[in-house]
Amino acid sequence: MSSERPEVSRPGRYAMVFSVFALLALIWPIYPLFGGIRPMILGMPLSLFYIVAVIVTVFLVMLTLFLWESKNDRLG
Amino acid sequence: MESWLIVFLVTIGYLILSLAVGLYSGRKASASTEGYVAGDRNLGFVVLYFILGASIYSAFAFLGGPGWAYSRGAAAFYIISYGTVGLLPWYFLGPRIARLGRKFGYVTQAELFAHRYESRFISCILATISLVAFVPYLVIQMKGAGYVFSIVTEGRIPEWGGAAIAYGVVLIYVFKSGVMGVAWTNTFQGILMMGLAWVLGLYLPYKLHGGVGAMFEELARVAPELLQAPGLDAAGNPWTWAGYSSSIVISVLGFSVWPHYFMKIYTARNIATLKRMIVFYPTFQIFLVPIMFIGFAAITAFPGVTPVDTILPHIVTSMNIPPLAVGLFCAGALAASMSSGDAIVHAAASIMIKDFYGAVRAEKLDGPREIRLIRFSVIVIGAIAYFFAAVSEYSLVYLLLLSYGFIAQIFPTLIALFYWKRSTPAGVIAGLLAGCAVVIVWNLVPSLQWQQMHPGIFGIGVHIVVLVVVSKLTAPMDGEHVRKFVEA
Repeated sequence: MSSERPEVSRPGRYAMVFSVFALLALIWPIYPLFGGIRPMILGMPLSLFYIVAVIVTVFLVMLTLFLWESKNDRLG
Repeated sequence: MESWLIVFLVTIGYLILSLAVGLYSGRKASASTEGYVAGDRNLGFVVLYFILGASIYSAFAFLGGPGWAYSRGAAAFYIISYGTVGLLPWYFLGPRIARLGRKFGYVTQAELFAHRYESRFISCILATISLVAFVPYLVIQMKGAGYVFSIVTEGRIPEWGGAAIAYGVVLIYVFKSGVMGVAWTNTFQGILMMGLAWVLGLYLPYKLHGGVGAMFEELARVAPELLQAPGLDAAGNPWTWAGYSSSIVISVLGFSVWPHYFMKIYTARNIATLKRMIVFYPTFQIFLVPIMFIGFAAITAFPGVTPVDTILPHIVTSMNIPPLAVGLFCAGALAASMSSGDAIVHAAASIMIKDFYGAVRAEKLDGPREIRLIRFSVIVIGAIAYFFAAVSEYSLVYLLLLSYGFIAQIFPTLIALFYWKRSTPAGVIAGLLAGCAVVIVWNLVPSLQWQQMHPGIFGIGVHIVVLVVVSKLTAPMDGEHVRKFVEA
């Protein structure tokens, strides 16, 4: 039992570390670096486009983790 | 036909459809408490996605979101941000919670906490925090529904009447169908609301400014302070980064432990379904982007509208939009209100009976009696909230601010439950109470404020210190019992 545990929880640990980074990306001191108006991208000011980009990144990273887990039968 | 009548009929059509979906879906679950509260732990991906997505996007997002963008600009982006990461803790905690739920038969949040710490008192504290946080939330949803009705019938239906019609429908389907009614109506309401957000969010900038890009170019010229993060505070001065960031942090911590979301972990068919829902959840956030466009579109086109939360109905009624489209707008706004209100009524009733009444009573409730009591509580809670919505003029914004600070206090307890073997019942109780007390004091004494930091942050800080110190000072719990949770 105890020898299997680390393998099962490793993806969980990745998710945990990634969650913290995703949160930090959306608040001070990282978000202020992208909080300006220009350049405008896809018609949106940088301050809004950056948040949309974070949402898309979070989705893609978590999707990759999920697919990797399903492929390796580690969904738990 | 008079145009207000068309609008009214479309709205009524939506309500009848909601009622039909809500009543029909109840037949899919068993007659047990597990069926009524947790859908027999058998909900699939699509329903789970919408039940959580549509519960969070309430009248606040639909009416308040554009209002924030309109008056405070980039400050409104915090609403998009917190939901993006708010559910991620579930990716690593959710499977463990779901497994324990299945093993020990939990259907509410407090059941897990009370079992881990072998304390009925914890159950009562959590139930109290939940109910105190739920009622103002529900009142605001009802007020939103009443408001929409009154606007579109040009005052022919008063606000109290509109709230009664919309929430009469909600109470009927929650009473009859429990969580299945909430789940399937939220799916229907969520699709309606998202579709409408995109249509309005792209149409209004196009109609008023010639497109989204042109709209933001114009704003960058005339009101750049609104586009520069973190936007403005409620008084119209630049918001502080401490205020913006701490609001996100408190919302993120609170998000994953709001009792009515937390309970939905138990409803998932299996772990893969739960994880897939969490992965896809941030896509729901994209729906808030057009909501922001609506508010930005109104800044130069409709200056000076107050209160700012009425900006969306104001735009819809003052532009020459066909009555059928206005009717769909009303249906969408009602959907936003009802899809949050139904989940809250259902959770509040379940918590009141299972976690509060169940904990103070000596003997255990039998199944049929328990469901009868939960159903009865649905009506009681609906009535209490309706009283505040229709009769009282009491300001709820204050209570709502408090409630976010309270709910976030559950997060450190959840982490201790799974990751800190040495945490004790006394430590957890003292931590929760101290955290909530700090939130209350910080709200009552404005001079304690620093840089517009959210009071919940101070509450969390004190909570953690008290939890650790009191746990260290009290006797550890039985190792065998604790292992069931820490190694789940």
